[in-house]
Amino acid sequence: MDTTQLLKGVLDLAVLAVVRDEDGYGYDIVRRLRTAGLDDVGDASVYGTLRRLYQAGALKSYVVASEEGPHRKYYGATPAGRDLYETWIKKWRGFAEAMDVLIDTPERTTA
Amino acid sequence: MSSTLDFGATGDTATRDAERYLKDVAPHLAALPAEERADLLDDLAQHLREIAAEEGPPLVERLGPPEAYAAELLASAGVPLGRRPGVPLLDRAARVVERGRRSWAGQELMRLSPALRPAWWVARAFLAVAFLAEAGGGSADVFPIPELAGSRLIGLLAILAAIPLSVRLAERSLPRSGRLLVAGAGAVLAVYGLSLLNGAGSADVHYVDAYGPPSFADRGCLTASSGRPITNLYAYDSEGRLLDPVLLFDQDGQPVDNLCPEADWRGRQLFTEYRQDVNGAPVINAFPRRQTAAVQPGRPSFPGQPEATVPVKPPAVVVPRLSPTTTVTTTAPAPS
Repeated sequence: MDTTQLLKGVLDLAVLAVVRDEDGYGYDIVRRLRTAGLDDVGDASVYGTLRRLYQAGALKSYVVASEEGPHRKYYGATPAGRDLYETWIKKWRGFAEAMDVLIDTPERTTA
Repeated sequence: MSSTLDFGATGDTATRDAERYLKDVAPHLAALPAEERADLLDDLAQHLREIAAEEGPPLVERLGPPEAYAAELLASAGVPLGRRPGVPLLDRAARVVERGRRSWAGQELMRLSPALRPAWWVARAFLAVAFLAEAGGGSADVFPIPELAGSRLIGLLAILAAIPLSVRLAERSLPRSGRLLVAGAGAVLAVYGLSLLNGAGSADVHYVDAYGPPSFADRGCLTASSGRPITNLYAYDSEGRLLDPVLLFDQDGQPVDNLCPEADWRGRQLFTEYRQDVNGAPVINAFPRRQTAAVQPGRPSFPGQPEATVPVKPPAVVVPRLSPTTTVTTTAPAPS
C-alpha cells in the first residue's frame, strides 16, 4: 500500500504532534516529520495541513525576521489545538490497537 | 553551513527559484474562489521562499511537478466546499431557467406566451429606442415617446422602424450564439423597462445614505482604528496563553468600562455576562467578558422570546515571540 494514502488520514495528528512542544516553520516541520520516519511526507500536504489547522484555530502563527535569509513563518499549537490533539490521540490509539489485533490475528479469512 | 556572504549571493537565486515555482503552481489553483486563491498564493510565496533558502537542489526537484504540488495542496488545505465554482455559469443559469419553467407561474407563462410574445416584440422595440435616447443624453422622460436626436418625432419614427425589425428578429431562426445575444439584450431591456415603471409617476429623488449610522466612536465607546467597535478585551501571556480573568485599569486607575458591548461590527446583538465580586456586584473591568451573540444580525429581541445565540469565542491571535536579543516582527493573522 502507498504510504501517502495512509498519511492522509493522520497528517493533522502528526503535524500537531511535532509542534506540540516546540513551534516550527514550514520546512522545519516537514524535516521533523521526515526525521521521525515519515519519509514520504510531501511539503504541499504539510503546508496545506498547516493552513487548514491555522484557519480552524488549532494553530497560531507569527513571522520571525531572520538576518540570514527570508522571514520565517512559525506555527505553534493553540490551547484549542492541544485539546484537539488529545482527542485525536485517543481515537488514534483505539484505531491502532484495533488494526494491530486485525493484523496479528493468526486465522485469516483469505486463503 | 554557508556563511552570511554566501547566503546573500544564493539569496537572490533562491528568491527567483521560489518565484518561478510559484508562477508554475498558480494556474493549477484556478479552481479556487478568487479571494481564497489570492490569500493562498500570498502565503505560499513566503513558504516557497523559506524552502528555497534552505540548501538543496532547485525547488522543482525538491517539490516535484508544480501541478502535482498544487493538487496535493488543494487536497490537504481543505478547500471550502460549496464555494468552488465547479459548475460553469451558463449551466447554472440554464438550471435556474429550467426550474422557473417548471414552476406554476412558469407553466402559466408558457401557456400564454403565444399571445404575449407579440406584445413583447413591440415593447422591446420601444424600450430599445428609449434606452438609446436616454443613453444618448436625451431627456430622461421617455414616456410616451422618447426624444431621439433632440426630437420626439424622430423618436416616434425610430419606434415605428424598430417594431418590424423586432418582429423580424423573432421570426428568424438564429444560431445559438445569436439567440443568446438576443436573450441577453432582451433581459437588459426588460430590467430597464422595470426601472422605467418604477420611476414613472414619481419624480422623487432618492438619496442613498452613504455615511451610514453614527459611528461607534461617536457614541463614546472604544473603537479600533478600523472603525469597528471594541466589544471585548483578551489578554495573552508571551506563550500565547489566554489570561482569564484580568482586571484592567486606565492611567488614572479607573476601571476600563467604555467598551461597546451592545452589538458587534456585523450588527449581531451581544449579550454580556459580567463577573461578580464576593458581594455579587458586577465587576465591569474583568476581562474577557462572557458573551453570546444573536444568530441573526440586526434582529431585535422581544421580551419573553428566547433568543438563538452562539457563544463568542476568543479570537485567533498572533502572539509575537518576545526576546530581548533578536529582532522579532509580527504580522497580522492571515485573513480567513
